[in-house]
Amino acid sequence: MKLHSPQFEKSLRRRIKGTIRGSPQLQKEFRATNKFRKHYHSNLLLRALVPVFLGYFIWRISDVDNHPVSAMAFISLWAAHATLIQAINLWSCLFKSTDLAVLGSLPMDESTIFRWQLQKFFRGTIYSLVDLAAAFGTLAWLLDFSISQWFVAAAICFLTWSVMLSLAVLCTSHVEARKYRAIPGFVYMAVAILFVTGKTYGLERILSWFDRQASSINLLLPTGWAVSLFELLLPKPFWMVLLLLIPVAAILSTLPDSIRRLRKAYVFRERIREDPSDLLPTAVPAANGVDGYSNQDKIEAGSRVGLTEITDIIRSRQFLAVPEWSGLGWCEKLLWRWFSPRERALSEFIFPNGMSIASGWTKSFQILGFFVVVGFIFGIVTPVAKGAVIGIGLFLSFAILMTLIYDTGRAFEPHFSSGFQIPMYTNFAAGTQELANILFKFTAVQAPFLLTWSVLCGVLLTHLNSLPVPDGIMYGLRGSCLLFAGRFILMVYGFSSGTNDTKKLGSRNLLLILVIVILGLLFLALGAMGLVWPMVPGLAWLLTALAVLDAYIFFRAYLWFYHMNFFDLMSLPPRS
Amino acid sequence: MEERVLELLQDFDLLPLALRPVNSLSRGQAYKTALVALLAVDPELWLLDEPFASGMDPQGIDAFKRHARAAANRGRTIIYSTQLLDVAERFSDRVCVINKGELHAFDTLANLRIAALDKDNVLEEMFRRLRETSQ
Repeated sequence: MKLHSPQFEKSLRRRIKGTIRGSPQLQKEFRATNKFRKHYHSNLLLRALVPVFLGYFIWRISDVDNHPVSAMAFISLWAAHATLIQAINLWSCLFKSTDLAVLGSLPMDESTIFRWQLQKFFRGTIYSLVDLAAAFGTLAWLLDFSISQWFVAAAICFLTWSVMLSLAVLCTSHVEARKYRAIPGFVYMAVAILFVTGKTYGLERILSWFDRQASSINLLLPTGWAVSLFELLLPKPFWMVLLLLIPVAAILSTLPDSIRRLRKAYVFRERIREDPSDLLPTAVPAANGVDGYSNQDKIEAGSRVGLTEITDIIRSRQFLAVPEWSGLGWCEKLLWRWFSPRERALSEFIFPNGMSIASGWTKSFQILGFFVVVGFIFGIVTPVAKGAVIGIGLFLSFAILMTLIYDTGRAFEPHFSSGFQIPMYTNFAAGTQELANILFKFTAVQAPFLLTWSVLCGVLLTHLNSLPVPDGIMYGLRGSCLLFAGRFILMVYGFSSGTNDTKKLGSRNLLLILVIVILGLLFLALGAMGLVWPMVPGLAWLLTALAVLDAYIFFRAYLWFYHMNFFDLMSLPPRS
Repeated sequence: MEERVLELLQDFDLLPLALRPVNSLSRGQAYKTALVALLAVDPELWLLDEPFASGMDPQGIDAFKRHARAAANRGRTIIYSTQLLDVAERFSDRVCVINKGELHAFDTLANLRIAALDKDNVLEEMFRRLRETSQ
């Protein structure tokens, strides 16, 4: 079935333009309606920056390290990350695309829709090929390749891309997307940690560690098998890597089967609601008046068993009751007292199930305590295991901490309304400032917990690195200030997620991006320097204070743009 | 087909907007665009959900009524839902009354009027009675 004829569209466009040109009135209307609509989407420009950055990183790694295998490991890691992104994209394209609602209502079979969506996905993966070409191209350029070597490098690049696609389709067809959807987020977090660590310990040390692991990374990651073939182009080729063509071929051979499997599962089913649990299977009630209702009543009520739990709740008016804050910890009670009446009302919308702060912190401290104890026990046998176990504990309790101090409840959840996605907080008419106040108080009330946790972690880290304990306390105190300031940054992210602020390229949007990028980088730089400048404590504290101030200015600057109506809240579904 | 599309775009005041992406249009403009696509294809059966509460401007509603009436005269079947009873009374050949998921009437307005003892606002009266019965 053909839904789109480019020739027809072209000819119609030409005629529309001709008709408009022929009428002064239409020309006037055309100019008026299109005056402020000439926007260019920034996504393409931002996407074009990815291969540039990738090429830059490859150049930096090769420049500092002078070892191509490290650069190859970087490409393998990037390809593994891109594979997951592609798998998520494929899943979204097949099952979550906004086009599906329209396509499903057209008279065509599911296999056609599947084919179109799959084609759309494959077209989108061309960007990954460009990224890989930039990475391999930079490496080939640095190694001063001959023409024939360039051709082989291009073939390896294409092979890596094919492996990536096969793995992405394999992943989507065999594993549910929710199981790996969060992994890219962890990758970004790891990159940020590496960035800060690199600033602290020096890029050379990080890279020399990375260099030692490079060969293992290339061998362990399936995306590294095709990349490893690049070794054949290096001065002393290791011909055994040719054996890696066997698993590469095996991965590529899974593609048809994975597609077949996805196609087979691509069946639209009508959603049929289950009968309520209180509905009788037959329309004839067994006895009369057992529960106080006559048989006639039961028939008129649709042959239900009797009062449902929902009816009970509605009759008791529990849904209008104020949440039972008194049953929660002292932290929640304190917060409740701190809220103004208006904030209390709004907090019920943002946190409909109440706020659970104290129990989360208890869990975080329990996990940390458990891993510290286990780590010290392991430390009797081997100091390396001690560090690793405590490190896992720190990471897990840190993950819980992040969800606690930066929780935004339902405030920024997107809601689909008449074809537009709008954030939840706009539905109950909460102002940005009052919402920010609620979220700020929510974090501020956790300050004692945060301070204790940060100091504990600082002491642990200094102990593991054989540094003086007072330094650890100072690290912890400064770290807690930075984590606290992170609330401002993440509030901006929350508000930004519901607007079209960076969707289009215009002078205002560019100004906003410029301000946000500069202030964001300044926060990272000041924070990193303040955290790791123990030699001059006064200066370290000054830098930390400046980082906190910067985060606040970052927040205020965004709200200024927001209140100036520089962008709107209608996040349109992406065009595909 | 080009002629037909151009004519429809003009009828619905969409020509100045025709080169813009649909997702940059307002709700009413987007609805008019969808109607133009429907009218261009001119199918045997039209299924419309609340066309009079779609955010269209008065010109759009007027153009829709004209085209719908002309299509009905050409033998097309148009089924639309509406909550606006006076519009339904003035603009429909046959009316189907559905209340709480149950079909209560499906007849020409003339027959419904006879059943309602020649009342002008026959549909409003019918819903009022249904409400009284359910209470």
